[in-house]
Amino acid sequence: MNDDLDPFEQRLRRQSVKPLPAEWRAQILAAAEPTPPAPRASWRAVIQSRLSALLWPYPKAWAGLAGVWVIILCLNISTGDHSPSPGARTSLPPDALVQLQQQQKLYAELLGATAPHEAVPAPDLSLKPRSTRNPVSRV
Amino acid sequence: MKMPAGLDIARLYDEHAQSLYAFLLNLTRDEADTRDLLQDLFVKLARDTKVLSGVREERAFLIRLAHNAAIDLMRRRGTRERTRENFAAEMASPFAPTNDPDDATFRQELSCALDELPPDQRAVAHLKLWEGLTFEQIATALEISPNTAASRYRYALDKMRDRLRPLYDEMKKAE
Repeated sequence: MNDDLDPFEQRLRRQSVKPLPAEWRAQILAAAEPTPPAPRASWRAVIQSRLSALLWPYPKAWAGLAGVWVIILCLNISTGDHSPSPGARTSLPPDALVQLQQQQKLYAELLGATAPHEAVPAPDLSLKPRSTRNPVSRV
Repeated sequence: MKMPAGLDIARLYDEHAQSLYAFLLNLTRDEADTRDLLQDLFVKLARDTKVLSGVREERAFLIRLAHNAAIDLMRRRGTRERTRENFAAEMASPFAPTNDPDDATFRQELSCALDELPPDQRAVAHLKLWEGLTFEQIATALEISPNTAASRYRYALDKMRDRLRPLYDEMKKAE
């Protein structure tokens, strides 16, 4: 390789370059190492962590609120609401029901009266020739 | 070190980091910049595991990446570079320190002579003299024609010869 170099060039080539700092290797390779993907957390752990993040600032306040809700629920169950169901409460009174039935009956009768009559059968003219038809009917 | 399949960053580092370091240091003349560029280069290699697929000459390819990164850096720091010209003594030398006073003087002058070269000529001179690449290999690495590489080398060598001639002649006489 040095054959084509003159003495000046050979002199230049003999000047050794600075060695690479050894401590850079670990640093650069560590920087170049891909970060491993985070392990996939289970749904339970995710919920737990989110809940804890949500409740963490005031855990006693959240616990008190939960206790109040439990008390309200217990009171609601113990009083026992025996009132009729909403569907029963909205049913019609008997007289209105009778009136409604009468209206329905009247409506049915009206429908029957206006129902179309049976069609009158048309005279059968095609069976006899014109000459053999009843002369009386001729005018 | 566990790396993506098909790309061993540690092997690449062990085989090429020294050359890339000397090349980058000669271009940037700054240890911190050289370290940043070298680290960026290997981080990119680690992230894009397919970047070297199909590459026949790893060294030439990595030199090209390093050269492009160094040129980008030098463009970005253009104003800083101009102010630094007055403080050449603070610039990092690309050469190893030596106990021989004559060699030390010669390396210091050589470092200054290289620093006076345009980056394009400096890159070619470095690759020819201290990497031992042929003009064809330099042309491939720097994406220029072999004739351009040869002419840049000649210009660089002439400038260095003029700059170092007195010292070189004196040292030859002493030998």
